[in-house]
Amino acid sequence: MDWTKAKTILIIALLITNLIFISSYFFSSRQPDFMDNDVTKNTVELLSTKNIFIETEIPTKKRTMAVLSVKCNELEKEIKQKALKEQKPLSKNQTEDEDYISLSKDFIEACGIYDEAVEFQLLEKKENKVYVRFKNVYEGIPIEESYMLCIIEDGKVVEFERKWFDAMGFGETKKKVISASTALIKFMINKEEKEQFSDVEPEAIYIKDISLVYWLYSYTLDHTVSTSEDTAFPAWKITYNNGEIEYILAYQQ
Amino acid sequence: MKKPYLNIEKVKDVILLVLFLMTILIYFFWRNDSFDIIFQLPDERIASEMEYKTPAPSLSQIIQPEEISVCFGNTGTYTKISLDNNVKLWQSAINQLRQFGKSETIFVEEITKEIYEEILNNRSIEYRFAYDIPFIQFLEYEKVKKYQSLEAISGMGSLAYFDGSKESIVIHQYKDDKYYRLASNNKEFSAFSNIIDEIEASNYIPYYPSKSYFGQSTNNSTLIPLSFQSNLQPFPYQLENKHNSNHNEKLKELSESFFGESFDFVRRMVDSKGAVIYMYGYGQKVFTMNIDGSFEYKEEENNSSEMNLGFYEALDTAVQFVANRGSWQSLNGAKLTPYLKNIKIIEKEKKKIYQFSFDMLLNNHRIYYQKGEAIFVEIHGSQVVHYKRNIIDFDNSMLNNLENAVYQETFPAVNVPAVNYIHLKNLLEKQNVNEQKNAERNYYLQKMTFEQVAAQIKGMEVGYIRLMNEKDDFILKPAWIIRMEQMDVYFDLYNQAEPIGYSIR
Repeated sequence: MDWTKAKTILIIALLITNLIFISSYFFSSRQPDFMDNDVTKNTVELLSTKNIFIETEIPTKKRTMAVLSVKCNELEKEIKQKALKEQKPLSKNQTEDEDYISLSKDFIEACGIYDEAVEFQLLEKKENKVYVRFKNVYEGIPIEESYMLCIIEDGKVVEFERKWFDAMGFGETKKKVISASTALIKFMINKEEKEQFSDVEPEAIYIKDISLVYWLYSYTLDHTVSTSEDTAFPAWKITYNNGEIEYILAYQQ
Repeated sequence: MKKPYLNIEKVKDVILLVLFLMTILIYFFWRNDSFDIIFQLPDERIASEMEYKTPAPSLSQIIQPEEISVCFGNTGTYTKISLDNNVKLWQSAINQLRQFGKSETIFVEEITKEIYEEILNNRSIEYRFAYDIPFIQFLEYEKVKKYQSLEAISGMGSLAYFDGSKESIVIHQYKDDKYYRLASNNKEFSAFSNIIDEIEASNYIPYYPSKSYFGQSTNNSTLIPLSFQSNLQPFPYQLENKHNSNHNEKLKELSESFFGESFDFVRRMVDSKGAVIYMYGYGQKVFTMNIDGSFEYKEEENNSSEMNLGFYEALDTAVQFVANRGSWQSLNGAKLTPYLKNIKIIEKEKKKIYQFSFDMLLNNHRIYYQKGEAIFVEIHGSQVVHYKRNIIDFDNSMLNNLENAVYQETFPAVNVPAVNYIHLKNLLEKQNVNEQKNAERNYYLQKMTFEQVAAQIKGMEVGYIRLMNEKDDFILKPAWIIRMEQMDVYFDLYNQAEPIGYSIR
């Protein structure tokens, strides 16, 4: 056997194999750019025929995500009471949004629960009260249904609501999440199913936002479980009309 | 002169090696696989890919009589076979049945309860199970030739042979309380006679019907030994889900075994009491590690539940399921011997539901659970939908001490009901308080004499008790167990037979 020739042939064969793999990989990874645009366009068209209108940008980036372990973190009543009692109120001329946000942050810090996961979410003024809400964000992704809410009246925090989960870390393995377009189609199917059993005239839906979040979905078991630790799953959060929200689990079931 | 040529060959070798490694790397990249798998240690990979499997006991080992009793005939003496010989004796009985199956013809006739009981008062041997075994399926499984005449018998609760009619055996079917005599036209069961002879020649423990002790008016044939020696000792144990670093890995393996590859995407919850719950989807599969040391798995019915299994297939499914999910020993390998304690077969909308309860033997004695059982498996069609395990854990090195403990005289069995008459009477009263005809029963119970209480005794055993109440000190207690209608009452085996608990069946 001519080993010299055999080696040369093997080198050529391996080079060709590698070239095929590389070109195939680049082709498949670039393909979605234009294909996804088509899918997104078609999704928007389909949804509009079903009275669902998109008023936001649909994310096209493909992602793989792991589950997120969380631990319920409750604030002791005494600490809250002490912070409410010992807070420094705003002066009468401190009425800017920043002043309220700053007061709320100081209050949360005084409770000893302010960290990098706490992010300002929104500020609302109703009657003579100011509502400052903070969300829970871990590695750039919000953990839904986990929040802190400071209710301010006469320049001081009068009430503090909190439902908080400390992120304990991601699961070991990542899995592809469904695209935003797929989530919207599922949203549409859910809506149609609901309408089948409803006598109310279906109203037009205007999608205001769609984004990936971590979600602790509710479930049915024989008994109700009050959990101290839980697992949050990636989900598409679809915000529509007047702030109504629907979550679509982002793993392919 | 040949040097440059050799250099080129060396370069080619290096290029070949580099290209080969590159191909592997690019292949994984192309498949979009996680590179973690490449860098995973081989042991980790094998562990994650390998299904969790442990040895399963054979069905012949697991189906064993609850009691084998022998009557030596005219002497009025009986004995009960110790549990370590149960399986062996039952296997020899099956071999005899195979011989019986070679008969030209088998006649089947229904007999009365009185005849059956009379047979047992003669030189005989009875193999009594706690449940009916589907008879035709039993014959098929044990390769005993079937006869059409045998199809009249739906279940075999006990099987007995007596010397007075060597060509026949009798069967008690618990369902509908029916008794049958099966007679061969040309075969005899001499082997059964030999077994009785061998036992009689051995150093057996004599037993007598309880009516011999408590009076003929009790009309109770429950066998009770006159004196009994035992080496049972209090035995400390731990819960199977105790936490330590080594054990956590076992718990993870067990949890993974229910969910397979999707385990990383299963919802894990810890409830406020500390129970750990793993849930797939919206509750399609739920695995719970309870704080009392038990585990429970539930699964929603799927399409596979539509195919019905026969008894032995269903039992095998249950046995394999346990072997692949937690094993038939404790997770730490504590040596226990499982046996099928009870079965329930329900037919619901053309679907067969099997409920199997298993318990464990330790040092050749049963461990009686005050609540539940060691293992429970429920099968719908061919799908396991419910699995519970509550197995004790201990260091196997402690078994030697237990097995080699010195035998000592137990509290006399006949005296156990006598010294605890009031306690037994109160329990019977308590148990019956909610039953029909309360007033009548209570009146009757209040007037209950010792003989009437003694008449209710269905069995007396020696075994370990696992108390499962707030007083549980994680020690198996050696006990006399008095079995009554739907109730087991436990008494200290040695010290004045003090009551230590009871359970409702």
